[in-house]
Amino acid sequence: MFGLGDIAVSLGFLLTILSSIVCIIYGIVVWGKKEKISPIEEKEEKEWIKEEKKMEEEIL
Amino acid sequence: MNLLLLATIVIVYLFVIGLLAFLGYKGTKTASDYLIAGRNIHPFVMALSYGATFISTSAIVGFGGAAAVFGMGILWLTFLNIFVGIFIAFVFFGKRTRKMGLNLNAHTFPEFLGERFQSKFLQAAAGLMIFIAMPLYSAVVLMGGSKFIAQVLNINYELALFFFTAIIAIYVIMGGLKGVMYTDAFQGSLMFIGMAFLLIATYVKLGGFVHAHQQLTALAPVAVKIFGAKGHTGWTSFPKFGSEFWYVLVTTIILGVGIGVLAQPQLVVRFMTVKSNRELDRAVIVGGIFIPMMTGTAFIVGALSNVYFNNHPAFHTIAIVAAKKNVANIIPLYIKTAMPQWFTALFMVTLLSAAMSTLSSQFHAMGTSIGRDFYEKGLRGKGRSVFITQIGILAAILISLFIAWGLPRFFEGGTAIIARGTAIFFGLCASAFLPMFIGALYSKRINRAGAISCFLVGFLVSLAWLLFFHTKESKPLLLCHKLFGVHTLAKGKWQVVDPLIIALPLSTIATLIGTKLGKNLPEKHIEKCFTDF
Repeated sequence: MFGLGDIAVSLGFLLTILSSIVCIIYGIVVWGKKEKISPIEEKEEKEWIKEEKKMEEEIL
Repeated sequence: MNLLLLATIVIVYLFVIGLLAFLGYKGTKTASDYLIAGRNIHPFVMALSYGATFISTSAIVGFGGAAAVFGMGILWLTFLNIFVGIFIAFVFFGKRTRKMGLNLNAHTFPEFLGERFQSKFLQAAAGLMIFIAMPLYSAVVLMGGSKFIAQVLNINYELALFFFTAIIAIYVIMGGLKGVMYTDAFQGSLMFIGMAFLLIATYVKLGGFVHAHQQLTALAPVAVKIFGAKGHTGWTSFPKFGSEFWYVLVTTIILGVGIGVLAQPQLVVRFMTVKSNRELDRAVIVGGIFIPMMTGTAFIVGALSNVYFNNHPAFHTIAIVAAKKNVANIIPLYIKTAMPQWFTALFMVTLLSAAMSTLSSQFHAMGTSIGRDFYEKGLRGKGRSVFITQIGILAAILISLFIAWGLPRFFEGGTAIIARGTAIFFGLCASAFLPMFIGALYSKRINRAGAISCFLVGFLVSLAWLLFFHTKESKPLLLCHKLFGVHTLAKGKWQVVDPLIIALPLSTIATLIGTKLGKNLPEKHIEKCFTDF
């Protein structure tokens, strides 16, 4: 297949292409999916971002 | 090489990077700006940023060179890069890591593990391991870029390494560590364009997709003549099952990096900075296109370079011989001789992008590992953790530079040093972290004893295997010879079996036994970890 020498390498080539296609299809299927963010998550996120920002500013 | 052209392109590139970093920084002055910027990050940007961090000069120059030696069987690694490194990583690891990271307010990978298992020891030990072992990975990333510069500009490797490290260090110190996603995404875009051109140009040059492969297949007798004793059967067929080449290709190169990606500290933190699971889902689409264009191109072009060099009247030999047994020189030599000058300059920028995006995350991970995780949590140090982190980053840069300088002296000619160095670090992370990381995300039963056992067994067995059994490292490291009078304690094929194959199953068993024997974590804590799951 594809001018390649054996089945193992041909399969590697094919799986590379197929897995890429799977990723594209998955991305398209879930693209419009709505996601609810809970109030707990919103609160946690604010705290997380505060700490992250502090850490980043302290590094350099 | 037209130096003026190269200098112009590099300066314009550095200016754009500087501008993007400045604009990104200016736009996120306060925590709420940061929040809004995060919320508005497009999945395209997130995926490119992740991809640019994942793919480095190691993948392009190092593994591309390895493909020129081992052949297209290495494409199985591209398959794992996409399926494991993108699909499984984003969908099954990323979402839970993000949510659990928020629940635990964790900001580094060791902190995530330490908080999840309520163990300061684990956080400190993981931080120390990352700080000690990651310079090997950053060194081979530096090496990949420097080999290219040395080849293109006809200067010696040491000089190229010094300048390349200086550019990276300035970038990191000027604010590359801020992790501005747009800078990464710009670099990712350049990498994509550079690699896409390289792939198309190579196939066109060699007469088309199938014809190029057929020419490579026809070279099989040459491969067998040179490497047949080690199991090589040709560049478009897999090495003989159970041969030395088979073990190196499968256990070190394909599995080491293919699986190890799931427990990479600098990549795991990327999941925590994503603002919702939806972004991760959407990012799969971009990652699924970006990754094959990076590693797929490097591996295909690396293998096909054998056809190019064999057809070229000035070489008329295979790639590894044309590059004077220096695996890391194969891709640079191919670009320099087969591609137009303007592309060589563009590729320089592609490699700078690949190195900068990866190295900035690595130095960030090493700095926080030693400052926040080891010093602050492990030693309970107070007040100086910022200073320790900054010193840690500086030390990490210098240690990486030193390793990158020493590695070519350490390994014998013909060794795929960059690919091996990368695989060692990836394998080490997989063995020490992966079983407990999977348990952390999916099991409410795994406990502190299980996690610590996983870390200790994974780390120590990997280290012991490298020092006393895996000949490629145990021989030059000399410790085995000093203690036992032999270069390896392994017999036959075991000498080439990668540490990952031994250490990962053992650390998995250790996780299970430790969990069985250890005390359960408090129910309230488990509830907190799994809130909103």
